[in-house]
Amino acid sequence: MDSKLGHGLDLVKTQDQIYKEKFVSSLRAYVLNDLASDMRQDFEKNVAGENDFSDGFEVHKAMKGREIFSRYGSIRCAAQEMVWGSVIDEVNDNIEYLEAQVKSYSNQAEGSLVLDPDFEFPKYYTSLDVHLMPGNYEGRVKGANSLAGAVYDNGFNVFAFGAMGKQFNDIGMSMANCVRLKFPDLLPEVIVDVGCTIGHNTLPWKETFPSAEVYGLDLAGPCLRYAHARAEAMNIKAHFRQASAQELPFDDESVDIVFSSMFLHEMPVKEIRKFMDEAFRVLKKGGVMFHMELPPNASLTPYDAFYLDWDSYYNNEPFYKTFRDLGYRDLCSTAGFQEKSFFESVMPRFTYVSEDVFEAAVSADALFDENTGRLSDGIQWYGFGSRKD
Amino acid sequence: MALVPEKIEVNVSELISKKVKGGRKFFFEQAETDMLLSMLLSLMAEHSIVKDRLVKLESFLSDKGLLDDEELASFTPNNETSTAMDIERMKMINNILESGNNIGNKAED
Repeated sequence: MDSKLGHGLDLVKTQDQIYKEKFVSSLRAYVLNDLASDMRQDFEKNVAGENDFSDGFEVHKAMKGREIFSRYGSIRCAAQEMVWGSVIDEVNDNIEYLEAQVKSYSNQAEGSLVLDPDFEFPKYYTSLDVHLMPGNYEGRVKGANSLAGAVYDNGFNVFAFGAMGKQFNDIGMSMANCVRLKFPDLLPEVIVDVGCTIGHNTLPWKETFPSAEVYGLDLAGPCLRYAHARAEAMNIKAHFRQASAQELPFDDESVDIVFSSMFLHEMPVKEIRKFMDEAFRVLKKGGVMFHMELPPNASLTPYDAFYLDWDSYYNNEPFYKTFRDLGYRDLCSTAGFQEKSFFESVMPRFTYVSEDVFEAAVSADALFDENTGRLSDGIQWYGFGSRKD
Repeated sequence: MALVPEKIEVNVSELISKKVKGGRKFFFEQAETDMLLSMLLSLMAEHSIVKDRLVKLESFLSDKGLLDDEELASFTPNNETSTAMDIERMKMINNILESGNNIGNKAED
């Protein structure tokens, strides 16, 4: 991995900090590739046998207490903590420099930032630190700042171990190009990325559809402040708004694409449904709602369902499994979309393949396997959505 | 038209903590085992950093024709360097022994 983010908000890091990042990144690759493979082999060789597992929950029950399960989990959690721990030291060393950089880029902005000082956070969001990320997306540091954004940006760089594209924007690149290829008649004027954090998957929409106005929405002010400066530092014009997914700040039928990535699984089902209703409300006729997510449990083998649900139990993501147990088609149709308009795609990473290979995958029926949604060197992204008639 | 705030207030008077609200789970029979494993991994990180630095340094010196093994073995760092080494050593001890502090903690501010 390259410890440099490649934009104007790069921190000044010591040699030790850089080497520590590299170690943690390698450790994560080891856990998610090697140890994950050992755990699967243990299941196939010693647990599966004559047993007929009906779902991931049963596999989880059978694997708990096995040495490889404990080793995988303990090292994976420790590596997760080390991701954040290593970059928090860097951010804390760079507070004044970072804030000066953020201020400088924000003041010469082409895009915009609107924060809501009276914003009320939902309890499900404030009750724990998601992804074991200390301070959550706020950082729990007083005063206007962008520190949590910097923790996320630098942490994600370590977390992704080079498997998620340039400035880890491959999810955004893949999804934007999936929509471009699937719906060539769609010429979007307004695109909204909901739950955008630092905008890493927001900006690819502007790159893919340069004439569109692109908005990134999130609850977390520090991440949005950072996202805005980050976009400006990369010379990409985008607009960031502090807003709830359940109250999108757009008029009825005014948006062409509502997008989210790895976002739905962070909310209780009730809130997901409210967001879907809002997406339907703001979309123009012919507009597209598209969510990059983990694949639904029903489409995976019990072992793969167990493997992906691991985060729900051990990575402070309590709604992860509940979401993945839902039928995504039903989720869309309940919000008002026609059932026949539902679509889903499993695709290779856009950054790493030719457009022909990518287009063939997004044009074909979704094909699920052990690499679908599983962060590893061979990951395939999954997305689902619907088009408003 | 860009809606840029007129002034960004910067008021950062504290550091980001490493404490995880909600804590993290443990996997072995006793949380202490997970804590020890966390410490071991942190120790590996510190070891890896030092190894990387040494390889880089030796490679640099060798490329410049400056590496003399005997001279290096008999060299004593000055006081300033020794103090810096003491501080770094203490930082390393904290980093390693505080690994795993979140294991088993319940939600709290």
